Amino acid sequence: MIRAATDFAVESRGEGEDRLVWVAPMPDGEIFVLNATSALILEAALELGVRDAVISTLADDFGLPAESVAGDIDVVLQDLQQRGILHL
Amino acid sequence: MRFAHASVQTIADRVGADVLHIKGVTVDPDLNPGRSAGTDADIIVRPSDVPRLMEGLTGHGWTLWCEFHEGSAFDHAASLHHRAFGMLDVHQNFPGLHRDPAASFETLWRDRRTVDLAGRSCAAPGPVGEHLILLLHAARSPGKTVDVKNHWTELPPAERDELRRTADGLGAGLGLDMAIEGPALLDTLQGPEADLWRVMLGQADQLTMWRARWGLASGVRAKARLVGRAGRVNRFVLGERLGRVPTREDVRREWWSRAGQGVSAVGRRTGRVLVRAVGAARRGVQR
Repeated sequence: MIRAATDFAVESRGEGEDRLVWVAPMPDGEIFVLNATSALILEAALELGVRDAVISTLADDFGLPAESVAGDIDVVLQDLQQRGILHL
Repeated sequence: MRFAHASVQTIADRVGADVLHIKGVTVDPDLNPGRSAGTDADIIVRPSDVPRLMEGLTGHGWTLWCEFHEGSAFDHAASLHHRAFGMLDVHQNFPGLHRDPAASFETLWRDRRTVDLAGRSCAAPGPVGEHLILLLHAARSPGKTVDVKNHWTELPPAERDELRRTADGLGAGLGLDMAIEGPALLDTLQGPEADLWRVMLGQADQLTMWRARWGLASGVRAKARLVGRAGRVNRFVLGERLGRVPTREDVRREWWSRAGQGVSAVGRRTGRVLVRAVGAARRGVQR
C-alpha cells in the first residue's frame, strides 16, 4: 500500500506538460520540484494507493501499454520514497 | 513564501498558537493591484502565544536572526530564517497597534478570514484588518503609495468610516493619519506617540527614542523592562554593519559608543534649552 510518508504541503503552477508541482514536508522542508509527469504519478499514488493500479491508470490515460511505462513509474515512486515523501 | 506560511501554520497548529498571516502572498491580488508579494513572510501572533510559537519555530529549522528587542523601537518583530523557506517576520505587535497588542490582535482575529497557502488553511485579517495593517505599514514607508491608494483612496466612504472607527478604537489613529497625510503631519505634533513615529521614520535621535518608549510604557514592570533593555547592543544590526558576527569586543565598543551618543544627545538638548533660556532672558532685558 502506497501512502504519504509525511505531512507535506503542495503548490502547483501551469497546465498540462508545463505543469510544475512543489512539494515540501511540513514543517521542516526541503522543497522538491516535480515535473508534470512526476506530479501525476505522485497524485495517482496517493489516490489509488497500489502500484499496479497507478501503472494501469496512467498507462490508460496516456494510451500506452502498461509494461512500457511501469519502469519509469517505479523510478519516480522510489525517488519519492527516498526523499521521504512516500511510503511504498 | 507560501511554504513559509504553511510551515508556520503547521507549527502553530501543533503548539496551539493563534497566528494571523499578513501582507505578501496572503493578500487578495484582485484587491491589491500594483502590490508586490515581497520577499519574506509576515505573521502576527497572539501575544500570549509568542513564547510557545517561537519555541516551536526554532525546533523546526527556523533560526532566530533578530530578537524582538533588537528589531525596532516598537519591539514589534523577530526575524527568523529557514534554509528552505527563507525569511519570516514574527510580529508580537504591529507598529501603530502597539498601545494594546492583545486587544489589537483580538480585534483582528474576530474579523479573520481563511486563505489557502500551499494547502494549509491560514487565518488572515478580514477586510478592515487588512486595510489597517497595510496602511500602518505604508505609514512607515513614505512614498510607497500603492497601499494608500488601494486601502484608503479608493475605499467607499462607509468603509473609510469603519476603518477610522477601528483605528481610533485601537489607538492607531495617528498611524492611519500618517499613512494618509504623510510624515509632514509629525511637524505639528508632540508627545511620545509622535516621537515614536519620528524614530520609526529615522527622524529622531536615541534619546528621543528612549523618552518616547518611556512615555508609552505603562506600569512599573514595563518601565523596568525598558531600563533593562536600554543598555543592550543590537547584535543583529551591529553584525550587519560590520559584515560579520560581532565579537565581545565589538559589542563592548558599541556599548560605549551608544553611551556616548546618549550623552551627546543630552548635551545637544541641554544646549538648546540653554540657548532658548539665554535668548528669553535677553529679550526680557531688552524690553
